[in-house]
Amino acid sequence: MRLVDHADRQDRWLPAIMLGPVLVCILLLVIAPLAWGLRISLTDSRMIGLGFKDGLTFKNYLSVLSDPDTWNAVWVTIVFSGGTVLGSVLLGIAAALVLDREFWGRGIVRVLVILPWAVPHVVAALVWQWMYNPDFGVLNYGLLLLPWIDATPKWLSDPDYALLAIVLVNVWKTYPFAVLLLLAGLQTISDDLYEASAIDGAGPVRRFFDITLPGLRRVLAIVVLLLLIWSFGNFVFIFLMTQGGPAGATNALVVHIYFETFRFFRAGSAFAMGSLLLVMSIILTSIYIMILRSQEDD
Amino acid sequence: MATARLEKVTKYYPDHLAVDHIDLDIAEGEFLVLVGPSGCGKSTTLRMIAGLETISEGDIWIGDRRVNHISPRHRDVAMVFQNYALYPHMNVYMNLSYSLRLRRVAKAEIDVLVHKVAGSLHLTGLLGRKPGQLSGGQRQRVALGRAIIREPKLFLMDEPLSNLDAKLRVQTRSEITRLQRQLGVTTVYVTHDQSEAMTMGSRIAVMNNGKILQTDVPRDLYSNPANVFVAQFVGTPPMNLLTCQMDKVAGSPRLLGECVNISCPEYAAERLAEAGERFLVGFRPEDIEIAGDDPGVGFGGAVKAVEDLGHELLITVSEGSTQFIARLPPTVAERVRLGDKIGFTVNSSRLRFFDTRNEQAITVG
Repeated sequence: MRLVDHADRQDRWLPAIMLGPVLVCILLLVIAPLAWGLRISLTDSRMIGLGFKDGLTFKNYLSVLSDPDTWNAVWVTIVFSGGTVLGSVLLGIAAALVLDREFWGRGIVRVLVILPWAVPHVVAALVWQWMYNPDFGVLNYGLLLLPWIDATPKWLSDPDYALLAIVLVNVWKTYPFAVLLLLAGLQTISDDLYEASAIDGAGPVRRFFDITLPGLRRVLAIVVLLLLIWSFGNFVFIFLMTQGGPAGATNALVVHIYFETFRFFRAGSAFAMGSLLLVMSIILTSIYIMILRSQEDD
Repeated sequence: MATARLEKVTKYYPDHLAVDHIDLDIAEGEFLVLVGPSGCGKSTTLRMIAGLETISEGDIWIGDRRVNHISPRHRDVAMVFQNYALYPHMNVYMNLSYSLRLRRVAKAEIDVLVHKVAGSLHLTGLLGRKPGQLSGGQRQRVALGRAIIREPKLFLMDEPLSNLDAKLRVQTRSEITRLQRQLGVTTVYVTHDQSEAMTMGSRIAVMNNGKILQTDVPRDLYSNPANVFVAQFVGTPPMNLLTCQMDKVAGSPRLLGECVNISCPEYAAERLAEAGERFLVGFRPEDIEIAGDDPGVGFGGAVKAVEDLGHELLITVSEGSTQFIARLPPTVAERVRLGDKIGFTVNSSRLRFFDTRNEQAITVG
């Protein structure tokens, strides 16, 4: 009996002991700051940590939602994230299809394709900034070598090109992730299916749409969602390369929030926008989890 | 419907020769089975006919068209794969109709064909299901349906029954032969299972090490194997092969060896004398019966094992390093005890002879 009692006691406390440290960490590092942020978003605090006056108010949310700068930032975020996902996925599929074939030097090509993922963001930003340089950059130098191009954009300082330029950098940085997952996905598609469809009468293009794409759809869903979520929160490239400029052309929500807080010290409205971003991220994450669950069901 | 012809077809891989100059003529409407142990090149041969493997040497003809460089989709063949290769994201209806949709057959016509095929394969209630929701047997029928729906020139089947359990395999075996006869489509069927080959094929080609060793109707393959390999590959248990030599005993030729002491059939004596000092004598386990009294004459030895299968007895008899198997009716069960010396007589017309050097059959008489 004593043994059983002992075991019972252990059973009761074991989960708490195992989970306790994690729960404390989550509480201190995630929940508490979130609650603190929400609290700030409901005040007119102009600086963090100076205490609250006047009690609670929704006016930050009202002013944020009626501010065209906010909607510009939302738009930039959507274009930035959408562009990144589209570019990474298309480039990722193409690269994965190539790497799935056997050819001489595949190992080296594989490393080269994966390399951007391993380059630190700051290094990547500096390198690309140089490459985009209108006067000394290799990109414009290359473009001018093409016979039909005689004028080149000032990439990062032209509002028409800056967002595209940043999206390109982010695509370059994130597509290796898509390649890795898609390559794994491709290898799960049985060769028999390609052979069966070839005998059934499908050419290479039909085989891609009838066998490859359906076979990749689950992996694609995960790639798209993860890239979306990550792009939503991507701060580094924009901050380092354009600081949200020129004229707000690359002013994504996270950058906008950063400037609201640390340049204009409008902590209240910054946290209100942060809450909006949080809601958008939660929606995306829920979709992601739902997809993962539906995969487990199959 | 068409004929198919393989001429000196060869497949090299960088490190080995998979198919070695094989010739094969497949008649219109024929059910030809390629049978052999794994790695013998039978699947590679089938895949070359399908166009899934390139041909290193030789020619393949489907009908009067040389198809060496024609892509699979333009060969007008249908194939059933070992693991079915159903499109996992399409339901049964879409799987069945895939080839027709690619050929832009009218929707109404597709619908009629799908229902006809589904009806004949008992799939009508399953048209809306995905392959993941089907049992092995059902998937197998969908794979068959996908092949027969567009009435190709050739059916190619690559071990289509090997993923089914034993009972279902026997059922599906007759189902496939029935369908094939009904549709009359020329069929090449690959299997490693000789009993499948024997029951299904109108003609059988036995392969080993990339070569075709014998092509014949099942009956002849069984009773007149062209070489030692075929003799031992076809039939369960296989043909008994015993080493012996010919000696004159009291003026008449006798075949002597471990387990063997029989008078040499006259018509064979001359030919066997030419064949060398030692050769193999072969007989099927069911071709012998227990001799009356003298266990020293005929085929004989000590009983080493008795397997009672109910409807028959399989008795392993051995002497020295040699052994053979006899298949006997259950009525003799009483008379057979482990360790007993036992002798068998054989109808000499059932004896087959093989050269020990090249393992080929020696034709006698």
